[in-house]
Amino acid sequence: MAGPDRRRTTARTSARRWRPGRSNLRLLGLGVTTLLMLSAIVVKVGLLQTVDRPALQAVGEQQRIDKVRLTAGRGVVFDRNLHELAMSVPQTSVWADPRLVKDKEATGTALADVLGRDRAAIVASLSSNAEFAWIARQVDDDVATQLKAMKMDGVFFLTEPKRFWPADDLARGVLGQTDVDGRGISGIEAAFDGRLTGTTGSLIRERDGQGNSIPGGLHQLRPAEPGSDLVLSVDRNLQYAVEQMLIDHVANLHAKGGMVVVTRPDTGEILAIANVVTPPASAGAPAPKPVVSSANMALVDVFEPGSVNKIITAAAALDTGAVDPTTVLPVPDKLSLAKDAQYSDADPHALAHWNLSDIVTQSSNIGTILVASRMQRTQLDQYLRAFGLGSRTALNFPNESGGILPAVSTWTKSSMGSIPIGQGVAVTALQMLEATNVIADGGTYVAPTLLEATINPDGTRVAAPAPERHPVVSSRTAALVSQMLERVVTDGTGKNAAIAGYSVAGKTGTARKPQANGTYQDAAGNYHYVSSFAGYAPAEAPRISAIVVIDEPPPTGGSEAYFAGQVAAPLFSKVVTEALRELQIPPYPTGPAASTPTPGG
Amino acid sequence: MSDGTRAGWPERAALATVIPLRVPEGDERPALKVVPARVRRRRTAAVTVLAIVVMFVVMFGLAAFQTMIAQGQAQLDHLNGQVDAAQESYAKLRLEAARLESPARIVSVAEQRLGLVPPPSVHYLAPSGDDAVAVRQATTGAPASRAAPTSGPSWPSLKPYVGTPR
Repeated sequence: MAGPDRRRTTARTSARRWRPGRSNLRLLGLGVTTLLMLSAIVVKVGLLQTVDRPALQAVGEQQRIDKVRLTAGRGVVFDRNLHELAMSVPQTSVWADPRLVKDKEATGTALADVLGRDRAAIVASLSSNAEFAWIARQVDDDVATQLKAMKMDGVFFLTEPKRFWPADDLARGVLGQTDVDGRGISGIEAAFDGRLTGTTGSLIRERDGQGNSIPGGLHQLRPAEPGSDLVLSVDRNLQYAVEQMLIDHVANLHAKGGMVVVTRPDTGEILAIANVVTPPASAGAPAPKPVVSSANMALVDVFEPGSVNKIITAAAALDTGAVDPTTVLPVPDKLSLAKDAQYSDADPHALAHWNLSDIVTQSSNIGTILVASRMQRTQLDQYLRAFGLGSRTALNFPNESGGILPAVSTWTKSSMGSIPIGQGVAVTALQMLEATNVIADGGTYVAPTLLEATINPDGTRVAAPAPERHPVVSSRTAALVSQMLERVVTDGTGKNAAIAGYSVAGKTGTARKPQANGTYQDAAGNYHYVSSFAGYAPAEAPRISAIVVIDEPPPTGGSEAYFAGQVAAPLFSKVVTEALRELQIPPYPTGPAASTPTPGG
Repeated sequence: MSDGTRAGWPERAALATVIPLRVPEGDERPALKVVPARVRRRRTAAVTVLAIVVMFVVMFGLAAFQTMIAQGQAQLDHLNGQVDAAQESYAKLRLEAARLESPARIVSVAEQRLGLVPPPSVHYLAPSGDDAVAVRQATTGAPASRAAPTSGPSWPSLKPYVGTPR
């Protein structure tokens, strides 16, 4: 039984060894210190794992996890022949983390030199306490290359899409604009922003210090869904030709501006919309050349249509039976409906006996008022609205105007004198052309359309819905009015709208512009005019229709240079000639062989 | 002796692996043998070495596999970068092509570089006689209807009658 003895011996020995002594104290101190240090480490590790965990985890993720926003490509806008009118291209943007920029002055100066921007503004951006500051967005490639080569601390680059319009100002007012973030703010870009804009995607990944993906690490990809492409009904070449013709025409006339809309009356497709303005002249400088407007004036601006509105009055009178083609009316050159409602024809004439065709051909105000007086107010109002006046078109274009057509309950005694001849109502150029198209299309209103199709990201082409149609007048009425409009061009006020080889139908309109003072005369007592011509060709089977509106053609020495027949009709002829040629629409054969020269090209 | 252990060696008997020997009938049962310690150590060493080798092989294999994954990831990143660059290049070239095709540029080049001018007049030829009748039928198919205008025939069908377009 040696066990108990050995334990006793050992206990005695241990007691002897651990008796306080210098070396034992050191050993004890070392043990305690080690224990304390280990305890401290354990406590610290515990704190890191519990209390500090969320913050540390966030810092770690920030360093390791890369969250990238994948911008969806914005859809392309094509013309009807799939020529690009608007498209997005990746460009480099420059940003900085001011905390990482060591020498803010030097960096700011270098950036300002390359970017050609204000140095103070850039230095101010770099001096902020923010983590992110834009320096320049969507810079040109050569600038980006230059900046990247400089390898500045705290200056970074990213790629984002920038919107381009390859044909520059072509159809500028129609296409509209996007902001720097690629959101549509006007025109087609705004009207179809939802379709053009895709769905933003994201990429979350773990990366190493060099920015490379960590193999097997977190990698979550949600691909961006690009937007759909749009195919417009606009013809790029025709659009360009019409814009150039309008610019030249407005410049020659020294007019304030002009609008032209070209459509296909049978389908409602808009082939071209040109908007031109003459910038204000600087003192002492030569008159500036007209430029393409950034606003789609043909849909946004309204004007009193004047005699073009007689198309509607004549059609309504025939359709209601108020007159028939053989009805002859005694037409004086002046008429008074009320004390302050005196009307006259443009040219003085003796009492004439005219039928409706004569009245339209001569564009007689008095004759038209007499015809309208055979209808009820409500009837005229209904026809005006059925022809599309007083409400926006189906285009739903941003800021599109519905025109001004007073409620029939507010009409005064003079309204039945003014409205039939196109005064006291206001229309957009497109509205007036659509009203003309009712006659061209056999009495049916066809809603205008700018969108021919969309192309989905997977490449499938989806045709736009067919335009809304509704009957307005009978086909007989339309045919009768069309014959009258043909006479306007062959015998009446619209002779300058004729096109060699083609039959043309249309109507002139010269209207005074209301002034800010509520009258038609400015402070100097002068009148200002809007001259327009709306028509179509070939008259027998209309394929092209157009309206030309010239804003404030200045009277030259008191001559009649502002009359639509002199101002708008010639441009109509050129525009429609070009459209017929561009769309390869042959002449409607009606007579013997002809070889007729026409001016211009 | 009946339980296969020897008296006085209880601990060893408990530790050692006892291999029951088949006793041949009629023969005297041989004495049990304990494997010598040297042999056991050799086996242990061999197993240990083998385990270490396997462990190294596995670790090396894992490292090699990880390297391959890293290389694959790097290649993938590189290819993604190339795809992005190619798409960007394509978009820029497409924009350049669209700019080159724009009517304003073509007119500018035609007039300024090639010296072309717009024609002073354009002549249209209209068919007559039988051709006129044929064209009328081709254009409208029937007497023109105001109520339902048609979009008309294609240009190729009319081309022989009205000449060559520009």
